[in-house]
Amino acid sequence: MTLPPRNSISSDSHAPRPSLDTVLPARCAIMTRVAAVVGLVGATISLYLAFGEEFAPLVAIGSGPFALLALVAVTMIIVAYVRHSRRLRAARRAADVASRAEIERLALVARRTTNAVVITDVNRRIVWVNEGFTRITGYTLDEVRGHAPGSMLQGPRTDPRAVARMRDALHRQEGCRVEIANYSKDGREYILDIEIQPLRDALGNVTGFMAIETDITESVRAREEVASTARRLNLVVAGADLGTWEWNLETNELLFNDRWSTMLGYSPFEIDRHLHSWQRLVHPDDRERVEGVLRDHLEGRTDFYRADIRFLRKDGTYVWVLDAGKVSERDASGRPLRMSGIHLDINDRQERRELERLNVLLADQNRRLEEMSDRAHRFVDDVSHEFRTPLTVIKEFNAIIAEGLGGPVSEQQSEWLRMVDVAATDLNQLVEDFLDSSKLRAGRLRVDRRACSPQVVLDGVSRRISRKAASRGISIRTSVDPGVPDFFGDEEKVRRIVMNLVTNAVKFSPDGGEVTVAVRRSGLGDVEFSVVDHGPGLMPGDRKLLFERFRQLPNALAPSVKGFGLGLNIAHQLVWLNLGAISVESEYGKGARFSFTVPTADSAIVVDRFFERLAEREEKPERVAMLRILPSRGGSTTEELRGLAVASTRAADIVLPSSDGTSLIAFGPCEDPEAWRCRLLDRLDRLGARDTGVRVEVLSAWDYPLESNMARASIAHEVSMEVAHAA
Amino acid sequence: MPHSVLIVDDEPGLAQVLAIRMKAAGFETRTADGGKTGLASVAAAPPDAVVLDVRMPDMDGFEVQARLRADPRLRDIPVVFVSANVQDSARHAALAAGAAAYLTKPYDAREVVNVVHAAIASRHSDPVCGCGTGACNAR
Repeated sequence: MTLPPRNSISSDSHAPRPSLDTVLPARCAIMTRVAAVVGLVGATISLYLAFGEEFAPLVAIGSGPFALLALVAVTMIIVAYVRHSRRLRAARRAADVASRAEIERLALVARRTTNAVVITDVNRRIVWVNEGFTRITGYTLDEVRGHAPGSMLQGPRTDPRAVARMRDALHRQEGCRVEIANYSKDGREYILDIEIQPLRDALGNVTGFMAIETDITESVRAREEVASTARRLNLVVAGADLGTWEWNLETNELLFNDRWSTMLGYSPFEIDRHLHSWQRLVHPDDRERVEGVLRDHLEGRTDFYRADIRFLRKDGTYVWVLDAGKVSERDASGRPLRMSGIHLDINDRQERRELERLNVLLADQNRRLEEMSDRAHRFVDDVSHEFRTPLTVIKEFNAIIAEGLGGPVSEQQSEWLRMVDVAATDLNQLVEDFLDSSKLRAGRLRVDRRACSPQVVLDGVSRRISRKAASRGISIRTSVDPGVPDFFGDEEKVRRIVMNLVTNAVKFSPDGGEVTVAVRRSGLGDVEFSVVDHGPGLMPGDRKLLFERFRQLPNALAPSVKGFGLGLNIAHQLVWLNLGAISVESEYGKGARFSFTVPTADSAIVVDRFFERLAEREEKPERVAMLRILPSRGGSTTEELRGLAVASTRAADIVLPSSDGTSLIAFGPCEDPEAWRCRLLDRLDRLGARDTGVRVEVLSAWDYPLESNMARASIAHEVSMEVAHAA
Repeated sequence: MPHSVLIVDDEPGLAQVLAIRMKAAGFETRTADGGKTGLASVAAAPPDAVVLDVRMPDMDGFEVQARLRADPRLRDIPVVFVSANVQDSARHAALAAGAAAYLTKPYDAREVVNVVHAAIASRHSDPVCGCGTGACNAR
């Protein structure tokens, strides 16, 4: 087939160009017709030539009548031919006019199309391009004519597979369609959708190819953007471990991804894709709340739907899920049509929250327990208080009557009055034990340590117990070794210790027995109090339990002895508070010897014992500090201040008068000396409301635990320099 | 001339016990059943010592003591507290406020008598007695 000459298909090069690809089939049909017309003309000429060749021999041999006949015949033929050729010309003219109109329309399309149109010969060399081609590629027809399009337009990102597919199709002389990246004259990359069709002549031979190329760069980029966004979104969904869902509110169809179902322990095909699946899995206790939140969003009262929900897992347990979403489509009246959202497993977070909630509850519970404990202690205080007044009345009137202040008393009455006194004394002892035990447990017992005489302690004990002991014929013998110095401790508390030990000894002594209370210097130089009885003694293995609270050990040798088992426990704790140590020696059946030590009033030894107690404590402080407490001018005396200071410090703290007697030295464990100073000052202010202006300063502080015994000795020395030696 | 003692306690049994003991020991005794009547009694005729209960319904012992201390004529009268409150802080607060002694119930009434004796004696031997005339010592 011959290419239609440009001037034959276009009479007007300035005419507008309709899109070519829309008219392509029509165009091909027209091409064929053009070829047919050309063919018809060709055939006519051949016929004419055939006539011409035949005429020559006829003319050559024609003469006489034949010649005339021949002439007539020739004339008729000529006439017929002329008539025929006229008709032919008319037909040809008519065909030309029709095809030219069609061709003009076609050319218009090819030129005006925004697409590029390329026509090549059978060897794929460009013979024609339209203006669309020039616009896309930047090349004019003159620049590309005779070149292979690929060599000019393809570049680094041109897909070789697309090129190969194209080449193969053309090789087979078939049409093809590919998407391919090409490059313009100035290097710009663009993407084409190319459709190539072979051009054939009337006999069907391929005479070339026509390519129609559409620039799809923007749509490809948009498509890639969409794909990339989708990819990123998928990564986010996968990375955040999100379940996703979409709910069609018209059909209640519920679409979800795999994670949505696996989060609940199901495979994706086990859950019906309908809203009722969701409703069925929501924890019954959450249902009402969640439906309320959802309704608020569907009815437009909230911008988002968001709820923490417990979902029933396949294994029967519940998992906390954050369910969040938004209506994505509404109809004209605002009715929601479609909603989508996510599920996020927040079980860990909920468990943490649950823990936090429990912690808050526990803290609250602790606070309430402390309050209850406080109330219990106050109750014990009150009960003790209420017991004391009538007890005192009973004991005192008893004594007044027994002494004959109210008139003569018979011997029998005197004996009965003694029994009343013993019972009242026992009752009083019980009350004291309960109170002390309660205060010791609460850490509320203050210890006012100072130099005390052992003899004064023993005298106080004798006075209190002698009547009770005498009622059973038990004698109490007391002795203090000559040269025993004053001890450092709380006199009242030490008397309670001895009292408890003696009460215990009397309790277990046989009627008419003897209890010995002695004071001597211990091997370590401390003051040692001992109480010896000749009762049943202790069974082996009982010693460890002896000092436990409410522990009354069963004793086969003294089955009738009863009590609450508080006395020894209290004694034990009071000894500890007085920086001493308690111990017991006993041989079963031969009585017992209880003894305890308290330090002498030597500040270096006191500091040493202080550190021993500190080492035994479960809670170790971070520091040990020494504070000075100064009275206000014209306020309390140092001695009066001492009472306040003892009440304001803790049981572990030691308060001593300073060496010059004008202030007090407090020595004790703390976390932060400054904090201790402030706390102490605050308590002093509150207790001594009538004595404002008391000052407290930090003298020294040491890190605890101490590095060495040397450090302990040096601290002891430093403290002893500050305090009065007579203490 | 016997020393006079005022016993202030809302518990009549206790007040009576102490009165009997004090009387037996040679004191001239009076009793009052509350803080207010106690103050009135002191104002009417200042005693040589006051034995004060701490917890009383109308006015507690600390308040009575504070009022005595606030009056120059009465501030030097020794005060001995008798209390069922064995809280150390109460004891220390009382002593810090200038009490001669703080005894806890149940007390031995003879001990109270001894303490009152000692308090009166120590006041009279006090060289910085407020009157400065030596009249106190003569009393």
